[in-house]
Amino acid sequence: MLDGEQKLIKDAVQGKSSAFGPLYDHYQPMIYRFVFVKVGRREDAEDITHQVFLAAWQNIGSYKHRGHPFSSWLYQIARNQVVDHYRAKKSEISLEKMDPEYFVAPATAHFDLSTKLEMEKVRVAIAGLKPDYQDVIVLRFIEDLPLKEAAHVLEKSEGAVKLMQHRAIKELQRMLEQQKN
Amino acid sequence: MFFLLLPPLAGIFLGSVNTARAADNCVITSSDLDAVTAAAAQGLMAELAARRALLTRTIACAKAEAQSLQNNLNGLSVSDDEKTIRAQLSDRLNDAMNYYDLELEKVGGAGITGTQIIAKEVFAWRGNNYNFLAAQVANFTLWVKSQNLFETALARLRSVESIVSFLEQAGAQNELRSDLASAQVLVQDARNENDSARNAFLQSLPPDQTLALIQQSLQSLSDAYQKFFDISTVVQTLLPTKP
Amino acid sequence: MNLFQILKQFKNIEPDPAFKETSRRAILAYRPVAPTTHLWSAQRTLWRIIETGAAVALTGFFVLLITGAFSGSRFVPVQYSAVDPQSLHAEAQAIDIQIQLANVTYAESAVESTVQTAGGKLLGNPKKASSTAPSAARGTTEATSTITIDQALQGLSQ
Repeated sequence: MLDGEQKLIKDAVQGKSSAFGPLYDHYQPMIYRFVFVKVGRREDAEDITHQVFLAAWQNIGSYKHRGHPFSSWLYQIARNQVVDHYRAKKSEISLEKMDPEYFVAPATAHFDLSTKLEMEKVRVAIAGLKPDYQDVIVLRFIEDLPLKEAAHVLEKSEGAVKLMQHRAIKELQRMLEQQKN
Repeated sequence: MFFLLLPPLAGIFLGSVNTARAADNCVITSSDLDAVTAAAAQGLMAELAARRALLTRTIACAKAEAQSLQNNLNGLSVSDDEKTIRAQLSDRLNDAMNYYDLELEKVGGAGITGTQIIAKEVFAWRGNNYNFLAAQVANFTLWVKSQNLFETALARLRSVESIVSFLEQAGAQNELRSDLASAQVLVQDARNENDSARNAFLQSLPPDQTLALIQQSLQSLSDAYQKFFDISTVVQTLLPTKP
Repeated sequence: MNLFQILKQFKNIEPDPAFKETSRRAILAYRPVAPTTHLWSAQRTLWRIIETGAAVALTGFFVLLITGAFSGSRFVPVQYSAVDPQSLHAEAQAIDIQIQLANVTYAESAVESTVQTAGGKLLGNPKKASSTAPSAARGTTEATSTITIDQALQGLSQ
């Protein structure tokens, strides 16, 4: 959470862009990562991330603090935007048929080659999971969100999220094993 | 992918810089270089003729580019203080054009190796001298065209100060005063940074430093306007209808 | 690296700073409408009454000012246009345009081959523009491309 976040949110709800700016600066990278892991392409991730924050700013007047972090609200918007993104594409994407270049990730350009290759394999495998599994992996294992917050974002009970993350990791491991063979 | 649409003014500004890059029919293509290679296959005299022709055209284009920059520079509307800076930059562009003239004179009597040496020297000279000069001219043009923004911002600040004072007398919230104080600091910062940019031109500081100062001053202005917007939002909630 | 270690690496992915800056600017340029609050609590209702009272008082000031009921010297003439969002927006946009222009440095325009401006529209990253602009806009065929003066000099030095 950002220092003085509650005051910033209150001011942002009142329409003060000078308050929304710091919120954007703080949360944009994590929303970008969440989206990028799901969609794989930097340009798409940038477009969707932009839409997330635009939607957040346009609707900030209706935001009400209910004991959950501001980031939860942003993640929920991001999940919806990714769904809309795929709907707009209007086609079933078969991973086998995709040009590997589609998944080239300039965002990982600063990693060493072997790490980049490993990450790309894992990212492709994550992209093959169902959306809920993708979400729980990003939220719990990449962003280290507490169980309570992840449950709020995913609109599930904490128990359901615990079960889901276990299944998601198992499924991911199975897919990576399949890739290897 | 989204992109920003800029009004024609931006196009005119960038167009003037890009026109300098390919002024007055100065379009050199990769096939021009290929033609030199092809001429080499026909013999030394053919190659020499091709090299001299392309080198002459290239240096003439470089001179035309400098001339175009100078024309744009002299077309800027500047205050008396800024005329000194403009004159300095214009003189340096004259020096550049004189240099190109001297190099052009050498081309006619040069052999193949001679043309290669001239090309190499002009390339190196541009890297060490001309490119910095062109960058500084671009910076100065940008700076001159930004000056009215500072005047407008100051006028805006004065108007906002009036309305905030008026509302305070009528019992309005203190947060208006806090936002106004921030705006005042930001506008002052912007003006100080703008002055530093002017001094950077006078002191012939490196173009990247000058550009950084210009960028900082514009960012401070932009931040001041965020505060104006915040004040506007509060005032609009206090005054439900526009008079 | 095991799977969990690899997943942790994803946390180091960062968005492109130029995109972040442009996106931020575009988003903050949008002006949201002030919220209409649904007043349920007594506290909010009371605050609304106070605000309404202040608004009535201020409106009264304006009416009296306009009708000249006050002697002029004590009060500064107030221009509502000082905080008019439309004019603020126009001025802020002019500044944002200059910032964008400042970001297109001479070094960028020096290294690209074929930056074109069409009807005053800036084509984002000039490097991107030069690689994606249709060749028709450059007036060249697929086989040739326009080169810079420096590129020509380099070619001739060999």
